[in-house]
Amino acid sequence: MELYHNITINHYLVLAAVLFGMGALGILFRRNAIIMFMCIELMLNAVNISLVAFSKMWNHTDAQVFVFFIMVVAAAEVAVGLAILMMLYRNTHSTDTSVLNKLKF
Amino acid sequence: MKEIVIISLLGIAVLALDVLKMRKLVLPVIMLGLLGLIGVSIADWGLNETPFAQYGGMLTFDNTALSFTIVFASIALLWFILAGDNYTAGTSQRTDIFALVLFSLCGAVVLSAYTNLVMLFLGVEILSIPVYVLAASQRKNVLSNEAGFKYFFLGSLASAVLLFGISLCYGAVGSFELKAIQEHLSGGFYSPLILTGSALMLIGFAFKISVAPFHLWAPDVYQGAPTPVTAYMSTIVKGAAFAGMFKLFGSALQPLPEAYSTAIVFMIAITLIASNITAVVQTDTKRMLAFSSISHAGFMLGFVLTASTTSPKYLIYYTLTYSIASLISFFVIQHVAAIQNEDASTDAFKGLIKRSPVMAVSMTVALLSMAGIPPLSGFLGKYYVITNVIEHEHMALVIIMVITSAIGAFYYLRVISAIFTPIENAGRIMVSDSTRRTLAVLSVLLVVVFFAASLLELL
Repeated sequence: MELYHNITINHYLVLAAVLFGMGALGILFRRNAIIMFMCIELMLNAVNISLVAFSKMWNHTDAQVFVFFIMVVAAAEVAVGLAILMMLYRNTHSTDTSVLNKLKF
Repeated sequence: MKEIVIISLLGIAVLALDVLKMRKLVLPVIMLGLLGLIGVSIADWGLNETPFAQYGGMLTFDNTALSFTIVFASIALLWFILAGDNYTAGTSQRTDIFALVLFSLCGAVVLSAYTNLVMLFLGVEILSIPVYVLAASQRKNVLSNEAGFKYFFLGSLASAVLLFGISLCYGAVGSFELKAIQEHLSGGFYSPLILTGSALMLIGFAFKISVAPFHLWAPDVYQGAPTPVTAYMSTIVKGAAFAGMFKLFGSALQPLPEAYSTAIVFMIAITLIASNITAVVQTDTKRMLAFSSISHAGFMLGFVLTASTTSPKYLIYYTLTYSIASLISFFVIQHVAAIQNEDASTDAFKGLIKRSPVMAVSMTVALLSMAGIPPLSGFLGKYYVITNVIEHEHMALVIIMVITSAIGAFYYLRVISAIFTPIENAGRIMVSDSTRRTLAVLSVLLVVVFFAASLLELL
């Protein structure tokens, strides 16, 4: 039990921030579309962790309900994203984003 | 709440009509529904004293929200009239696209009425997710795929950043309510949580409204997406994101430390300089208008900078006038490019005055309005921004705004001079009567709205 008492809100926040940062860097620097998808999920779930921690801190359930909203939205977003990825794969036969270079001046 | 129910039901009705094979009815039903929406919003007008608070106070339809709703519904109505020609009547692709636009419009209404950060996030997502699909809606076209893909990833990144900001603000305040956040901030104590949260929300919105240095996705997406979708993105999506941002920074995140307004000033300055200079070297008109749209976002950000003292009616006015000009220009590009093998370069516009006088004149009026030349309403929009910025004493910013407007006039005039360049063997461009009439009415509106601007003072 002693161990759990030492874990404060800051621990959760640092974890969330690190996961979020990993996700953001992944989207910006990775070139594989599937990995980029995982990074988006990582970012949204990092936010979920922070929301649940804050919810516990304030003793409200508001933020926990919001977490469910985020999960639903993330599912909708991924459904659309995967559809776009499938379509792209059919046309280019690759999930590497470096083939996406047609649009520039 | 009536407004949101009407739009959602309308979207579902459109899908139902598709299933029931009554696709001819789709456009009339949408028109009636949107007119009904405008009617309901006008009927709700003036309940300002006791604003409608819905969903436990998460949405409030006060006069500002209602006027945004009316503006978005009117622009959507015009969009449907103009886009009706571009999709073959009776196909299910057309009904799908129209339904997606309606669902996205629902998000725009949520964004103009939210009073709770949960609704802000939901509004942003309802607004964006259908537009990811719309941007990629030409399935066989790799350019459209690429546009959809880029829009999806950058849009999701922006949403996630916004969301983290919301989470941190909740951590600092203990509530998602805008009022609670405002009360917390008016105490004058800034915790690191709320400072980081506000900064993240600012960055998230900067992605959504495409201002520098977060604008790099916009030209690619605007160019690659099907032109009617680009017209939709540059009008309603942008307007709704600004409505949301204005509300957040005007009524909740007030007052913030000086550093935040300095950051916004820098963002406006970089946006205006980068977008206008890059637009000059573009040969593709669609891409050029994308940069022009970024530069207009820079101007509109001026309202957010002064949100604490500015009335939202000026932002609504700017949104309306820019949207009208943008609708005209993108649909003219669509019709011009459609008959020349999707070539939207400046050269494709040569001799347009002979080939289709109505399109040529309305395009000229729209571009002059975007350049901000009186007596067109785009001038007054910029005038309102600049007077507000002067009141807040950001003089360097005013100088940048004026100089970049002058640079802007240069690339608009290049297209206009192409339109009036005579060419031989000019075949006429045939467009339907409804498109022609709508374009003519819209360009007259740009002048009428200029002279009607004094009505704003009555509101």
